[in-house]
Amino acid sequence: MAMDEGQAVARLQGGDIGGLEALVRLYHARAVRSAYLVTRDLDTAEDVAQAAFLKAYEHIRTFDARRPFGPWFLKGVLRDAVKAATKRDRTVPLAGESVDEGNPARSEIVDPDAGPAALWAQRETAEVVMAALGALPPAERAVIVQRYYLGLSEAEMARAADCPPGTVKSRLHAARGRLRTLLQPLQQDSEVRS
Amino acid sequence: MKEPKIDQLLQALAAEPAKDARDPWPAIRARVNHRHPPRRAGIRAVPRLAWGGVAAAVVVVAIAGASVLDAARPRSVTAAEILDRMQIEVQGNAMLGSESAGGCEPVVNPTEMTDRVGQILGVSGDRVRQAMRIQMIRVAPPPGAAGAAVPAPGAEPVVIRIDPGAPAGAGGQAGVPVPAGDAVYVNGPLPDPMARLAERLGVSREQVHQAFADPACPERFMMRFPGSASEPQYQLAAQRLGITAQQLVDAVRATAPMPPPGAPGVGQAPVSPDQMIQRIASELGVTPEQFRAALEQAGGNAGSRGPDFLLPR
Repeated sequence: MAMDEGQAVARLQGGDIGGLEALVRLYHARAVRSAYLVTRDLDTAEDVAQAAFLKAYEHIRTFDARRPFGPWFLKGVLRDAVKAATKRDRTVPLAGESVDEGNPARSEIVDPDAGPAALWAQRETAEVVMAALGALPPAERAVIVQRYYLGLSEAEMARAADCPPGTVKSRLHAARGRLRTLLQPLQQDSEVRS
Repeated sequence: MKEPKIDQLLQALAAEPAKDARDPWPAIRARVNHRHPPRRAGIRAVPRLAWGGVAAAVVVVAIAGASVLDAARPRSVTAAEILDRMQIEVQGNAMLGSESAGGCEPVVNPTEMTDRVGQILGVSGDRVRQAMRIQMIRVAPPPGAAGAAVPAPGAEPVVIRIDPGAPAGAGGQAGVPVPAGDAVYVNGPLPDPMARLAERLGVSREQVHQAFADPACPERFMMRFPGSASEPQYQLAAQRLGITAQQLVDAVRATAPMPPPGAPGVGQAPVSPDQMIQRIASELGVTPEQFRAALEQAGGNAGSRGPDFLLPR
C-alpha cells in the first residue's frame, strides 16, 4: 500500500530512504513542472527537482512534521529554479526566444480532450502565455507559478517566502502588470475571433 | 486587458504535465547515495548487486577503473582490486562505482592485486583476471538461442570458446560459433567496453575514465549503465567530453549491449559469493579454500583486512 505524506515524512525523519521515495512519487511531477515554468528548460528543471529532493533528504529533520510537506518542499524548488533561471538568463536572452515545439512540458498545457479547433486555440494560447511568462524576470515567474500553478493564496505565498503579505501582493501586482502588456496581442486576437 | 482575463489565461499553467514514463526515483536515489553513501550496510549491498548481476546475465561490463566497488572503508578497496578493474552493472538499476564517504582513500593498483593472487596460487595474474571475467559472463546464452542477447548496432557479438580442461582464457576466438556447452558466449565486447566507448567517441580511454571521475574524488569513477541523459553523472561526463549527454548515453548503449528482458538468467536469484568463489577457483584449477585464502592474503598484503565481499554473510 502506498504511503501517505505523513508516513513518508515520518519514515524519512527516521532515516529510512523509502520515505523519500514515497515523497518523490507524490511530488516529482509537480516539482519538475514548477521548476520548468520558472526555468523554461526541462533538463534544468529536472536537475532542480532532483537537487530539491536531495536537500529535503538532508534537511528533513528540521522540517516540522505537523505541517504539510508540499509548501516547504516546493518553496525550495522555486527558490533554486529562480537561481538557475537567473544564471541561465544571463547568458541566454529570453527576449525573442522561440517556442519549443517539441517540449513535452509545454505541450501538456493544452486540454487533450478538446476538439481540433479548440485544441489549436488552446495550444496557441498556452504558447503565448508561456512566452509571456518567460519574458518576466525569474523571481516574478516564481510568484506567478506559486499563485496560478501551485494555487497558493497570497497569505500562503507570504509565509512561504517569509515576507510580509504586502510584499507578495506588490510582486504579484508587478508580474501581472507585465503580463497584461505581454498578453495584450492575445487579448486583441481573441476579441477579433469573437 | 482586465485582471480576470489574465487570471483565466494563467489557469493554463495549472495543467499537470503527462506522467513521465521514466521513473524518477533511481536517479534521485543515486544522487542521494552519491552524496551520502550508505555506510557499512552499503558495502554489502554493492557487491550483492554486482554478483546478482552476474547471475542475472543481464550485462557484464568490464571497465577499467580504480576502486569501482569502493565504498566507505579501506577493506572495500580490495573488492575493487580483486575484480580487476571490472565494473558490473545490472539493468541500469544498480549504480556501482565510486561512492566515497568522506575523503579519498589511497587506491592500490587493481592489477597488482590480482597479480598477487596469481603469485600465491602459482598462476599468472592474467589467468586470475581472465578466470574472473569468464565466470562473470558464463551465464550469457549462445547467440541465436532463445533469449540470447541482441547486439546493439555496431557491436558485433563476441564468442569465446573455452575448451574443457584448457587454461582459462585459452582458445578464445572472436566471431566463431561453437557448440553450446563447451563455450562461453558473450554478446558484446569482452574485456574492455571502456576502450570501445573511447573509440566510438573518438577520444582516449583515459579521457573517458576522467570524464566519469567522481568530482569529489577524481581517482575514482562512477558509471551507471545503461544510464540516461538526465542523470547527473552522464551530464557531467558529457560536459567533460564536450558532447551531449544523449550522445554519451547512445555511445554507451552501443558499446555495451544488454540482453533483452526475459533472457535466461534474468531475474534469477543471484549467485552467492561462495558459489562465485567456487566457480572462479574451479576455473583456476584450485580449491575454493585455496582461492579464498589467496584473496585474503593478497588483501592483507594490500593493507586491507580482506575481500569480505566474497565471503559468506
